[in-house]
Amino acid sequence: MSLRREQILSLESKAGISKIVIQDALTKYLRPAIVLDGSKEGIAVTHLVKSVVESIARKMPPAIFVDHGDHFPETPGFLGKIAKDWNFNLITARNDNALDNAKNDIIFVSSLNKENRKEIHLLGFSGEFFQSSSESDVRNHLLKRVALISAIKRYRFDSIITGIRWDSGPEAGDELFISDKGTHVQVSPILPFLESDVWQYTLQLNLPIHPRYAQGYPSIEGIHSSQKVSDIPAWEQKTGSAGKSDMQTQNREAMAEKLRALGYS
Amino acid sequence: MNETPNFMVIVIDTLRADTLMNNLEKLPSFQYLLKESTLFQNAISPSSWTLPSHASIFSGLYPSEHGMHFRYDDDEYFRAISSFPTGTQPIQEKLKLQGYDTVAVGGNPLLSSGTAFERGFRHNEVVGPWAILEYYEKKIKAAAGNVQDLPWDDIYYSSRGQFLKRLLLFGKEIGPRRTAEIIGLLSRLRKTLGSLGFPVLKGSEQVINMFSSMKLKAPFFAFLNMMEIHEPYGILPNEFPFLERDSLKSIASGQSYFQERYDSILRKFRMQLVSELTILDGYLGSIIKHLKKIDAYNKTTIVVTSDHGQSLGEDGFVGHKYLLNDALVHVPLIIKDGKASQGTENKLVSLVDINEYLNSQALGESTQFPGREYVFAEAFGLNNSLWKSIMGELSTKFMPEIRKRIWSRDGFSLTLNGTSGRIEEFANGSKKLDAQSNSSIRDQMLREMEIFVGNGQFKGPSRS
Repeated sequence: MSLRREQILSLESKAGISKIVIQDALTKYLRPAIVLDGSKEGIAVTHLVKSVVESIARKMPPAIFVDHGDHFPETPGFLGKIAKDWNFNLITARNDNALDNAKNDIIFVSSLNKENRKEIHLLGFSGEFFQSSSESDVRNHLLKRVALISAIKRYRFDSIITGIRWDSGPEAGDELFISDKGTHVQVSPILPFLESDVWQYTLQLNLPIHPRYAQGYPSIEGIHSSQKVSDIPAWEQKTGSAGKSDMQTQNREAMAEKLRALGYS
Repeated sequence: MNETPNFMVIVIDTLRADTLMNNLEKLPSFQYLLKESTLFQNAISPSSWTLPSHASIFSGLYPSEHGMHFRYDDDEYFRAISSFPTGTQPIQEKLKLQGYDTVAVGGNPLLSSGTAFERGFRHNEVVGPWAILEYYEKKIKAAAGNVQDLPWDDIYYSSRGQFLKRLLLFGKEIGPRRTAEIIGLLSRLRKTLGSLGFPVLKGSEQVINMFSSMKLKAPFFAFLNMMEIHEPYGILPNEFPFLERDSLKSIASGQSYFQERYDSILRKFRMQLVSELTILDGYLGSIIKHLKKIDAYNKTTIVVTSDHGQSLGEDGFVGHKYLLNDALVHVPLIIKDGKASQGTENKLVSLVDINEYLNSQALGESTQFPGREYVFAEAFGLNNSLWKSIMGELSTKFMPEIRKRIWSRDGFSLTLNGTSGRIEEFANGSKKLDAQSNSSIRDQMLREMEIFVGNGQFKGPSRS
């Protein structure tokens, strides 16, 4: 993937752009929230938001942690401590009905509630059941996207600040700094950051790092979707693939297209 | 009701939930409607006066989201109330786009054509005495020339004697000829209104007649606003204008004469509300009969509610706006939607959900009116010019108070003053609690409130 012009900028300039985007969103929108999953991108974005709110004398917006049932056991405690130290509300978003069903190996559509059945229908899935595995796009849609959108509606958030980067996958390549997703506005302040930029920002500013990164996990998305690839810390590993296969990437891209068509980020 | 339903939203302006619920046995039309309806006992209006509450009912947004509420800056206020925010689709517009015939008739001038509320309606008309009041107000203002500080609200709410007294204060500036002209106009206004039965009758008969004469094309969305319960009540030579609760409290507690007189006036007000409600019950009967006549009753989802209540001495306050106590924002909500009657329903609901509820019904989704874990109400003080008319020169020294209140589905509520940052009230139902008690519930509600406030200008209590 060739780099965009903005990606060649210095980290300092990229951070400057991020702060402008964040300040614009914080002054424009009534009820913003940060999506925080414990990843280095989420922590870096939250820190950038923190530095902006301190400079313009605002309070920290809340953050949403999507509990998809597969997170590492230390993740909630890790995020809870950051929320306390940095003084913001941490909201846990869950799709309880889908989580209950996801305990089985197979999820029958008929056993889901009306809202989840409607979501599956909108996604274009017409089967009677699907696998409860981290590879299942239908399952991931219910446990991640639907849980997030429910929290956005429940708390009436009008804007969501994410840690998406242009180089985090093909589906992110066309993202804008601020884009209307129908149910909310998505704010993506660190789009130009390369993975190495995020690590550099994290290490330079001594930001909290999820413990699994230090153990050699390049990603901390979930127990079953993230594999340890080395004994050396993630920030010392060669950056890029995060251990995903080409097939996975293609499938995710197709799913991302569908989700975008439905108005999701 | 399998085909596309019609919708009828009837707002009985200023009706408190308890006024309706305590008097149902006197109201045959309400009883008839309730046979096929659900009565929501815990419905909260998002604000305590007409403009922000109606904007919320139509738009599905809270006042802080749609912005149509008092602001200290008058120019900002007039800009905000002239249109819904960009991207907002009021329910009437959503339904119009789905092929609905959309009409509104009401007695409240705040909803008149030329305002944001016109958007999406094929026909929007305000009838009755307030339309006449508006006509005379324009003429009186023209006669007064550029005297901006004349207490215009007193034309509506105070006795002739009070108004004239205040008018004479400005008489020197206005001049004797114009003052005489204003007095003449005022006299004609009183006579005209009196001939219409004002202030006992406030235009709902004309609202019903106008609605009944309309040729509606199914499916339709009809919105009616009926004003009889709104002040003035016309039972005293000197009615209370808006009374600031603190001054009233001090008068009432300091002198028994005032206390007795105050209690007696409030008793009469309460009786007047019930008698106005029985008049409105007759109008509701007329609406039901008309819907049956045009073969629409069984095909129409009917929502009867109110935009706000009326404080009758609660918190030492008479009137509405400014405060958010139960008397002001606990409102009735009756829904007849073709499903079997649920009788009374206790879940916590907010009028902001009317927009989405009606829209989902129109789209054929058989949804229930949503219960909420938490709901909110908001009050934004008052505008600079109103503040000035009440406080005079002192107005520059005090900022109006901004408040928000949150309810939990467990029955707790918390009122915050966003000007001082104080917790004004913590309660469980009608029982007031010590702000230090039930700390985990209180803290959770403060957290919900903090998230709800977002970036809005509101001073909350400091985080623990």
